[in-house]
Amino acid sequence: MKIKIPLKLREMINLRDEREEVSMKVEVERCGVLIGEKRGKDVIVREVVEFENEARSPFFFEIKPETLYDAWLRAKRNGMEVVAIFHTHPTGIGKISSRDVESLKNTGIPWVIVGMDGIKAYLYDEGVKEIDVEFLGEDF
Amino acid sequence: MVILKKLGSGGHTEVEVPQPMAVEEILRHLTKGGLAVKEDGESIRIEDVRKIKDTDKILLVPAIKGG
Repeated sequence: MKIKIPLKLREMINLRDEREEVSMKVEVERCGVLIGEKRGKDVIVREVVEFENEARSPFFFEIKPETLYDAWLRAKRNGMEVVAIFHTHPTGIGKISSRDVESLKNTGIPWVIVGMDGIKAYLYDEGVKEIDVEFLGEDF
Repeated sequence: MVILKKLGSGGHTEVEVPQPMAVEEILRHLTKGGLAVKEDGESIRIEDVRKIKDTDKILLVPAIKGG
C-alpha cells in the first residue's frame, strides 16, 4: 500500500505556510483526517480536514468519535471517504508512538504523522507497518 | 443477525453477529469512549444497547487518541 498526497497538501502540512494550516509552529499537536479515495491498493488524498486537539497538549492528541463521524458523513456525501488520520509531532520525529499504536489498531486506516523529519505513514496489519508516502505534482 | 460496521480501510469493515454478541461488542466499544450509531444517525447510549434489534445495522466509530 502507498498513500499519495498532492504536493499542495504536503506544503500545507510540511511547509508551515502563512495560513498555519497543520503547521508545526504551535504549542499543541495538530490533528485531523485526510479525505480521499482508494485506488487499487493505494490511497489518494484529496483534502486535509483539521480538528481541534481535544487533549490540547504538545505530546498527545484526541479526536472525539462524533467529530470523526461528522467528517466521515461529509466525505461520503462528496463521494469520498476518510482515508487516514493525521497528527503532528511538533517537537519530534515522525515515528509512531506506543500510544498511537493502540488507536491505530482500532481505526483500520493509515495514520500519517508529520514530524520534524518529514511525513511518515503507518498501517496496522498483524503489526505496525510503515507505508510509502508519495507526493503528487501540482497539476494532479 | 446484527450488522456491525467498523470505521476502517475501504470505508468500513463489516461483520454480521448474533444480537447478544453485538451487545457485548457495542458495550465494549462504548466503554472505550467510542460512538455507536444506527443507520438513521441515532447514537446508542450505554443504557439502550440491550434494546438493539437483530435487524439493526450499527456503525462503530472509535475515539482516536495518540501522541
